[in-house]
Amino acid sequence: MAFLLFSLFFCAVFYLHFSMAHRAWRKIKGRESAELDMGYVRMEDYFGQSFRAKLAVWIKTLPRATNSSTGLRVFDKGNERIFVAGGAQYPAGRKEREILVIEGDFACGRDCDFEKEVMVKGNCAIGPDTQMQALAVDGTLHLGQGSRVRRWADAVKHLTVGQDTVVASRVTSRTSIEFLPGAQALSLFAPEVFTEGRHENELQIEVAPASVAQLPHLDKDAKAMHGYDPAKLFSMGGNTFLYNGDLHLTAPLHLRAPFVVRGNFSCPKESLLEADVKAYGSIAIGAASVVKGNLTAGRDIILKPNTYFQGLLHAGAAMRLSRGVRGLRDKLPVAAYAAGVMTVESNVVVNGKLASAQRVVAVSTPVAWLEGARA
Amino acid sequence: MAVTLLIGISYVIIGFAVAFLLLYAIRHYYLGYSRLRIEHPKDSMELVGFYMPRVTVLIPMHNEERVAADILKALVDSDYDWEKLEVIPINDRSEDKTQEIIDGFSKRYPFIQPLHRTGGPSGKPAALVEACERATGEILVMFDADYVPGRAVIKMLVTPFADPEVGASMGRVVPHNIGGSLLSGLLSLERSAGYQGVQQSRFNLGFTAQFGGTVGAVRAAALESVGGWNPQSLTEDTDLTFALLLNGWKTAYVNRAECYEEVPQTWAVRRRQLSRWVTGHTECLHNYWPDLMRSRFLTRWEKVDALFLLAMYWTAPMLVLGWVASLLLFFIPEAHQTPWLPVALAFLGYQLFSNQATFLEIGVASMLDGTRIRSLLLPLNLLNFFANTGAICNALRKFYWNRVWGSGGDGWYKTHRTRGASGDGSAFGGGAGAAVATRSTTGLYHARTQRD
Amino acid sequence: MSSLRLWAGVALAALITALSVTYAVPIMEAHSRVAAELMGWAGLPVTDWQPIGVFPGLEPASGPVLAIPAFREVSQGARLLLILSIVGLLIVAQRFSLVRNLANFLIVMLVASAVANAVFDNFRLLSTTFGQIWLRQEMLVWLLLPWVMILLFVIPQPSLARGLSWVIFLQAYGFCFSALRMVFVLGVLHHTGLIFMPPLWFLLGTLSDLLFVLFFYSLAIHRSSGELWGVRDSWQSHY
Repeated sequence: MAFLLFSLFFCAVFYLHFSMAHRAWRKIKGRESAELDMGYVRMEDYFGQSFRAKLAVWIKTLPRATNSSTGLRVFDKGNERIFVAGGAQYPAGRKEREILVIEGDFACGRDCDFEKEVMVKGNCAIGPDTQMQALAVDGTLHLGQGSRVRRWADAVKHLTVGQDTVVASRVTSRTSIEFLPGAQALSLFAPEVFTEGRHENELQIEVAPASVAQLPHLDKDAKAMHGYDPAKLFSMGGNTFLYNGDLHLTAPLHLRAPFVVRGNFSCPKESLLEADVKAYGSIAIGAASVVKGNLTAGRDIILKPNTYFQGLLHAGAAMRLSRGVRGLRDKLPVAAYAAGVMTVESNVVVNGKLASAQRVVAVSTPVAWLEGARA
Repeated sequence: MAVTLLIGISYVIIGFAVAFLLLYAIRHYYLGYSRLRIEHPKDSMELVGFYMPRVTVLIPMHNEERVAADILKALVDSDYDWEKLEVIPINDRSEDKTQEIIDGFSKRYPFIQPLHRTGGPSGKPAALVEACERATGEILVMFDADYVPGRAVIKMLVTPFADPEVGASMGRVVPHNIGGSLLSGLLSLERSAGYQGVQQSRFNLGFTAQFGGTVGAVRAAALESVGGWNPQSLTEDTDLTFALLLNGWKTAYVNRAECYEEVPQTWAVRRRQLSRWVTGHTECLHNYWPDLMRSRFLTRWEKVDALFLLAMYWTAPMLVLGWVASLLLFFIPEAHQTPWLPVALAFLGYQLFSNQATFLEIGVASMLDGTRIRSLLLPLNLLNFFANTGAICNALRKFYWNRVWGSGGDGWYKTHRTRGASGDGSAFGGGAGAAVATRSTTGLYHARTQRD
Repeated sequence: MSSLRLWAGVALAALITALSVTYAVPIMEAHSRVAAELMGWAGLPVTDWQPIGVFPGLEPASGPVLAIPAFREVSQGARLLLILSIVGLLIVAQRFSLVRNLANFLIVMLVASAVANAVFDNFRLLSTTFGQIWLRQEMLVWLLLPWVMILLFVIPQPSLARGLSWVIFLQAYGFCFSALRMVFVLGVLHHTGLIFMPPLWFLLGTLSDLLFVLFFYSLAIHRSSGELWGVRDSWQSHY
């Protein structure tokens, strides 16, 4: 009898190891998974638009707390409030702990602190060294020097990210973004993103250097020249070629078919790349080159000055867009993404997106460095 | 003498089984660990929407009246530019209302161009071969008929092709019928581990992902370069993965390109599915391993990883042999006297390692997905594990038997559909995503028409 | 997730392993004492505790002396229980397809065991021998367990302290659960002979160690997934 009771006890202990699983099964029995958002589409300005949409609902549905004589409307939203005002001007050092909606123009002095999101329906000028949570503006937005935005910033019209300003997440505009030296963001997206010192280059979209390395060069008997060794070239099929090793060309390149380099890749100035390139290592494109295809690098990508690109740039490490680089194409915006730090010099104009898993940084370009970089 | 021989054989079997399983255990532990360790998984999500080649979506169908409308509606709702999109539902001699449903959609949406097959070999690979001949897209996207892709899936699947080395891309399948049966609930954990865990981890480490034949895309030029689909293969997807790999093409994994699928709810259906996978996989092992070892395109570690992938179903018979040998040793009295018995018994401890490795991956994937309740089902996964082991061993036995005596044929191998046709394609409610995007060439801005 | 966490796990695992090796005999003695207590509760008539050599080079631990009848000597109740078990497993195999393979495997083991016992009815297994084999197995599990737990508990948990706590808790739990299982198996052997030995050894041996680790692992994941990674939307909202 004692052993029988012991056995029952043992079985109970054994069952306990399955009991939680049994309970969990009973909870999910008959249910369908609802974890996927079938309607999800990637929108670059999602955060800004999502906030605007939620705000509109809150203002419509939340109870109004007080209606002060200054015309400030206040809505209660659980443990936070929404303040709605007409145009406003905040003095320096002002601290705001609630969600702010300004139905007009807004400006604030230096060193303000906005703990929650701010929505401005007119134009907005943020003073230097101001701390913000997130900002959605229906007009123009100027982020003063040294400001900090802990999340995103979105504007319908022109957006200026001031010197040394840091935006921790996305910066988006439907018009244009000016990205001044020292400014940082996780990504920037607009029909036009440009850095300081912008001037219109004579944009060279075709190149015709005197001596050119044509790739792929299928003549296996040809001697190695211009830094290219035909013995290292293999066909993958589908008009795509693989080069087994580093490829550092000494003559301007004319690339006619998709190319994969199992190593580092560089081409000198005035090269023309008409197809996609992938390098397991780094890619360095010489000055005043034209890149019509996409570039994918396992490590760094460097576009030297006045290079023009039309496709995607994807770097597994850092990326540098040198002075005078242009990124634009018909119908679709271009995009550049680096898993490491992306550095953008002066006079860079990109119609589309610059993004990094770490940060995109705008830098000034001293002339002396520039002279060296033209090589 | 016979007993001594039996003891000796048992030790050899155990030793071999342990070595084999230990290698897999180390591999899975490393994959699970590295999945958590790498902060930024390799992906191209930031570039989605910026690379939009012409795409052909292929949907093989055979008697799919219950689900056909759902997938076609989902593709109509996708945010890919219709001018660059072509959808070819491949009706392979269906005897139900599949043709009617497809033609109905085709009349309303000109980019849907059905292919109604009436001749030639039947089966999915043959259907794909014929459809590829008329496809005009640079990139071919595949969905099985019972899948329901989200609006952004096509864009996500094609983005990796900006890399010229990418020959195929693979998304992620997520079971929707998690509560249909205990089996489907457990399979959802397995799928999670397989995609969120293993596929992403291998991709992060620079290995090629495995193309799964659905929720995947292939570059038309790459497909042509390897001779197209293999109509003889039971798993044309695995076959293609390795055919591409041998020619230097890689398969990219897109974790965020998620699509609901229906997993088997009964063990009979699951057994058939498993049997097909085991057979197809092992067939690929035999077909490709010599070329894999000789390949000039692959590094040493890529070759090792590819072999691990192809030989993974051998772990089941190794495990069973190890158990049987252990039990034999335990019950042979003479074996108790030898000092090596503790060693043999210690090998039982390998179960603690090797089995836990796969459960580690399930746990890692559950954490990353935040599927809190389902993670509690883990102990019951032991039952699934036993069931799988038996089914895999049986499938391998049949495979090698047929290899000797010859068998097989064409035809459709489908998972039984339990979802009923809703007619209007409203299988899954839309999530809480953004409002309907425009059919603009970019589609990157939210509700552009509201502002312009 | 930093390397510090991994090294902290390795350090703890090394400490536990070192302690287990250094104090192997006292640990096994403690296991026997716990088992003795449980045997008392279970009403098992242990006549003595004898020294058993578990590993060469170590002092012997104690194993229980408990009568285990031969096949001829088992009661009718035991034989009835065998038949009922086989029938029960057949019903389970028929009814629950997911468990079918396991049930069939257990049936094969039971039938093979019954046949082997009937044919080789002079085969004897002493309870001390069983205790010896059990301790060997479990000691090795206790040595391996901390290393497995680094990956299962230390690394994925939101805090290092919580991960290390799980390791210590599970080591203790494994010890107690082992004693409980051993007593149960010995009890069954005492009442029914060796017929049920193979399936019990299979189910309640290292498989049960695997089971309890899995159970607590699922609890740990359940708790930490909400905290560390959030639900799917939150980790994907980065995109």
